Amino acid sequence: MEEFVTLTIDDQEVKVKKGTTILEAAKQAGIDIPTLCFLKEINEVGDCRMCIVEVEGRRGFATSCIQKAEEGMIVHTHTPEVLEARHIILDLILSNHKIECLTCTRSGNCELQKLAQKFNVQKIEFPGEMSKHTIDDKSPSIVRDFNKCILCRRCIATCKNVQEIGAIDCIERGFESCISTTYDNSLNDVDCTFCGQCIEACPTGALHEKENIDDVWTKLKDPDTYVVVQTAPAVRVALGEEFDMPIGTNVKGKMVTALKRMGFDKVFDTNTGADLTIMEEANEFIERVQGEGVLPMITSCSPGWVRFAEKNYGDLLSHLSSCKSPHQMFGAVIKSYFAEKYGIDRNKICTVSVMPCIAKKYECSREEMEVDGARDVDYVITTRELSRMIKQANIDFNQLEDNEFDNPMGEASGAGAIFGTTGGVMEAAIRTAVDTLENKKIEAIEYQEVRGEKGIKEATLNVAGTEIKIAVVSGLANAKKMMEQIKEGKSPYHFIEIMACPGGCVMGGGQPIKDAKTRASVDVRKLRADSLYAIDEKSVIRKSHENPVMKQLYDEFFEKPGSHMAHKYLHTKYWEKPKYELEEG
Amino acid sequence: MLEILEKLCNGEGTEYDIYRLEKLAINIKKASVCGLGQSAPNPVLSTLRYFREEFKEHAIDKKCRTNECKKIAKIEIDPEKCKGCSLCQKHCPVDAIEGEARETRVINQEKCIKCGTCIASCPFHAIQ
Amino acid sequence: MEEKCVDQRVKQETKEILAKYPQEKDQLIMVLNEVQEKYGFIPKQAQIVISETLSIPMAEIYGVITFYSRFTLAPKGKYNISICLGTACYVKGSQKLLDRAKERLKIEPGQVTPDGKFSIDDVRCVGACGLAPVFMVNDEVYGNATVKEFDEIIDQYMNM
Repeated sequence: MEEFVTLTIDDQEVKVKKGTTILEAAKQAGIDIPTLCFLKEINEVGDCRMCIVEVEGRRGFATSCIQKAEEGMIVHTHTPEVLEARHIILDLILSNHKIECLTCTRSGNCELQKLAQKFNVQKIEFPGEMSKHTIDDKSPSIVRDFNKCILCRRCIATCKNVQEIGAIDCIERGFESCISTTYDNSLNDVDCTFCGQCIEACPTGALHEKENIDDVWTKLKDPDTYVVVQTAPAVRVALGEEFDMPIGTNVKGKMVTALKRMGFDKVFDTNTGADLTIMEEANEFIERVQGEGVLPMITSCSPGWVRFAEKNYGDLLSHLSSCKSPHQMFGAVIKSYFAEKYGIDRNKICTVSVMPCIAKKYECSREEMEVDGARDVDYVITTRELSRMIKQANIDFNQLEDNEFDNPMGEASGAGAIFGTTGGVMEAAIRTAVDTLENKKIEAIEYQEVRGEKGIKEATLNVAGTEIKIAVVSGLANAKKMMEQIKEGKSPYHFIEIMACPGGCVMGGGQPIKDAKTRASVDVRKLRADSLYAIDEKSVIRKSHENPVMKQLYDEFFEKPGSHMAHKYLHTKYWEKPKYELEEG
Repeated sequence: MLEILEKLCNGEGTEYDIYRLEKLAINIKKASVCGLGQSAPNPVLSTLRYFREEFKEHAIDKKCRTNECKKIAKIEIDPEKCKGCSLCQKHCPVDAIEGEARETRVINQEKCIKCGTCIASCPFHAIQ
Repeated sequence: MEEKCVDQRVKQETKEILAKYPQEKDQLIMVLNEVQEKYGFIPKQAQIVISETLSIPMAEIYGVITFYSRFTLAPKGKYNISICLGTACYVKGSQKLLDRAKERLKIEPGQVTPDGKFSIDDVRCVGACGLAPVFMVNDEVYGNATVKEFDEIIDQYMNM
């Protein structure tokens, strides 16, 4: 029996389930109490004091994001006293915030800025000493600017409780409080995996990706460089959000047109690279199942996950597939097969990947991600960076006509498209592995058991008389569970897909940032993921091995999956890395 | 709160600062999460309540009647009480006291470092 | 090589300390306390061992250490001078004692003299207000202190 309580908020009577907070109850009544530190189910701590309200009969103010509604409560959210207090709180937060709105990457999508606008802040009433910390931009992926931090702790909660890494915490105390790492080192030198979930959680510009926009513009403007761009599947279902389109709108057509207008010489699809990854990975899996190599095999296309594995499970790295990730593979193909076939000097090619991910910036910079002196991928830009570049180029995105990816190699299967969501890589791999092992074309290719938002999904398949147990995992907390199981020798699986970001790449650290209110009321993951599954459904070719580009690549260049050529260009190695490389100050 | 208080003690405060200080202290007390935040403004609030005049003196007259605020403290020799004995002049470490023979001494405010040595040395308690 | 041996020793000793407590996250402060007692600070190797054993991220341990003044990251001097700046002592002029300490030893509160002999800390009320102003050298309490007495006592320690 559901218990309900009735309370009055701003003279509105509201009936809510017992256990609902005042904040939630107010939302039901159409009352929008301002918050800053609140992040549903992740950070509910009452830190920022913005959500305070008056409750009749109580001394002081109540923290509406934590205080549970009680029967008969009478709540006022905007009495003069509350308004004055809230205004002062916001003022104090702003007084220690580096106000750089004109040039900040979050301008227009900053929760602090929105509140300042809502409260009509004209000047800072209480200016005073400001924290001065050097910006941490040592890593290739992420930049930390504490001078913009409002100490909401949303990043810490995400890193510690959602991802279970805990690379950052609050150090020192009082005015010296600072969100930082152990010994106040750069994120580059501690256990940070560059998953970027903290960026998605941050309400201000205190955390953001390391930008490569200027690098890419320089290459685009250079008449001597042949610039090739590829876009990840997850990008096309989120890019539109930066242009006020509904969450999950598939803007592939417009995206291609925009990229062409920006001056890229060729616009390719990372989904094609994904198909290639499946060709190699399915083959590798079959080899391992048939005795050559250690099981369970784990996917390796998530560089945040790979970094996590290298730092924490250095002796279990043989479980990782030796396949490079789709964009790395495709980059290698562009600078070899494509360059050769179309007579372009490979040293003049610059490959750019548009990714939903900031760890990919680290991945493309890894020493071994090159063949014969040419980097597979030269630059990675995030979905957000692309949207900024489109705006810089004065392109009116919403008015663009649709276009298709360039040929050659412009085709990709539906299997390649679903790489962007948790369970997608597994489903794509199964479609190919099953057909290969059974030696026929299986019609039922949608594997619902690996779809959906659960952190750990399992299934057992019966393929050519063998039982194959698979698992699909997203979020590093769940990755840890899998690895501990393997460490103890108790893993029942043959094949595991691991993605560092909860929900998969659609929720990656480079995707458009959604504010706390949206995250509390909208299932962003589902909207974006469903869009990818829709692409798959509408695709004529839905299996990687049926993509004619694959036949072309193997016939003309790689011979067959797992060949010497394939290993040279499309496979990689992993090394145990130290968890911390600290400079003690 | 500290920064506003320092501003007042440096002679740079205004009456508006007193208003700001009180508003800030009241709201910190009301909106803080923990007991420390709820009680820390108390000394400020109670001194504002009982010694508001002194706050106003610091802000408007730039005067500190206890001479604790070194930046605005003024040490002056009462000409009625001064006997011209020159003891203060002899003890002043920066030679800030002017006057000859039996004249009443005067402190040169520009040179004075407000150390208080002269006050201690005057046998007639003519300096404050 | 020599550093490695020290690291190994610290690791081993920290493990021994940890073994005395239940392996739960909430034991962190108890363990840090013992480590602080033993070494006079919390060595990095100790933090690593504690992190692995109690499953607490390094950043969190660092956060706890920097939050509490009880825990330090660098060793204190042989003679740690704590000067009370609590209300009663302050009103009785303990700031002058602190200034004198800084002047004589040429270090700031929180620092250690180059020879490792002295360190200064400004602390809040030690609870001996009747003896204000108060300063302590390690566990010795010196009450009703004047700057002159402070000088004499420091001289004594300097000659030790």
